[in-house]
Amino acid sequence: MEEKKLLWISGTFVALAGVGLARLLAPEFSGFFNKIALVSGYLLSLAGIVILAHACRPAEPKL
Amino acid sequence: MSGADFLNLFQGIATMVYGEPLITAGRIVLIIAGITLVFLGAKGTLEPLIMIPMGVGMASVNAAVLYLSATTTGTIFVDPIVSDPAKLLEALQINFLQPVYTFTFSNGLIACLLFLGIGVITDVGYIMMAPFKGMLIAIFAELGTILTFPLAVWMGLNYKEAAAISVVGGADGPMVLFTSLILAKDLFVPITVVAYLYLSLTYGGYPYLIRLLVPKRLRGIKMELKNIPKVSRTEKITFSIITCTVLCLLFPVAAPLFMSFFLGVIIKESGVKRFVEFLEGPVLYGSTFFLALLLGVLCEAQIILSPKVMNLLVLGIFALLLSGIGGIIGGYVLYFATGGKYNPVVGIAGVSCIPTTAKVAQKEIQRVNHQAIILPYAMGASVSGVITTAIIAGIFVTILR
Repeated sequence: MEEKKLLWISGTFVALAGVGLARLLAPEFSGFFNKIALVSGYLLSLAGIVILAHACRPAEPKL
Repeated sequence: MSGADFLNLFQGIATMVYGEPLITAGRIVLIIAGITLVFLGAKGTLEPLIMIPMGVGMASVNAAVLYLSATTTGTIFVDPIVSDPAKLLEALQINFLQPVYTFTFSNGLIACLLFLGIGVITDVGYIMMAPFKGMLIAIFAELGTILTFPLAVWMGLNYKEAAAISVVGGADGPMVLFTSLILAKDLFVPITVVAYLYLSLTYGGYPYLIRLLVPKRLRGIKMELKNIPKVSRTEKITFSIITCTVLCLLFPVAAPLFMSFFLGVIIKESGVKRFVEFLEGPVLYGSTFFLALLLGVLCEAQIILSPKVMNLLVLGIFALLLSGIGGIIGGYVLYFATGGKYNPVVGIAGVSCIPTTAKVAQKEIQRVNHQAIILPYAMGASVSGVITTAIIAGIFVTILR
């Protein structure tokens, strides 16, 4: 249960950090760094969503 | 009776030969193509839900060109180019499909309605039972989308047009429609037609790709089904609303599509039976029907015959082929990572085209091993494919718009 909570929190945090990187930080840069920040933000958000999906997954029954 | 009188008696024939010979030839080819699509759709070789209305529309519109004035020709089906408000109002009163086109097609509403319907028939629980594996395969299955972009630029398309045709690699019809409407409005008709034509070919073509790339021994691998965890409705709803919010924050331009898809998912999981019946029946099939009919009607020779169409035909098939190969490579990566427990054929399902590719994977596996069931894993990869395609389309639209 504790592990699931951790995944819920870290997934949401990572996804929102990606949003912040892509939508807030990237516009502050220009050229190459803008693109890097933008793409990193998108990838980070995707990673956050995957972590969230993992958090929803119930623990496999122990045999 | 002179030849001229005969042509005036049957105006469709007179207008057929009026103007450039290339357009005349194009109309004849498109009429034949339309009739062929109807028969292939009716036989089940191609997807009948799309091909029958599209074929009838294609054949009819190219046969129904008439003199609109002494010197101009056109049809009374639809005018996709009209933008001046006064002319648009006139077109709405004359062209019988203009209201459907103007109010649902050219603004992307029909793509959102389709996504609502797709959301209602999608179970996100399939992603959540193996999220890393599903997403990994879906990312590999975007190989066609990623590699087609530079190739399209090299072939002379501008960045926006190249991005629009690349999205065909994601094998998601409504997404192609939405992206091309935003990025390449002049080419959205041929791009969408190419996309839907090829998407209907995946059912017939991908089995051969699977047989070519995966040996029989590996196709028969049985996957573990006993320990598949059950995901509760609350968990599915929570995942859907958070993912929808994050994706809308990231890509406001594609937010209508994300909202439509996840709204469908949430309605299904909430068990609102009346809405589910409405969305999975009249909305999904109604919008599919009008989408296909309008695509056919938009295939009028003067609209579709652009020098870029040949390039689009090549790029579209290249994108889908590479995505299929990429998906199977993803399947192989998981096969080796799990010590041979993962069936590499599941990879083809990462090319979203939901649920066709998942069904193709299951069918191909059962040809070799009747007891092997991989559909839950294939559906997970397929739903992940919808999300990765939406993200890549969102990236293209955000960066290039």
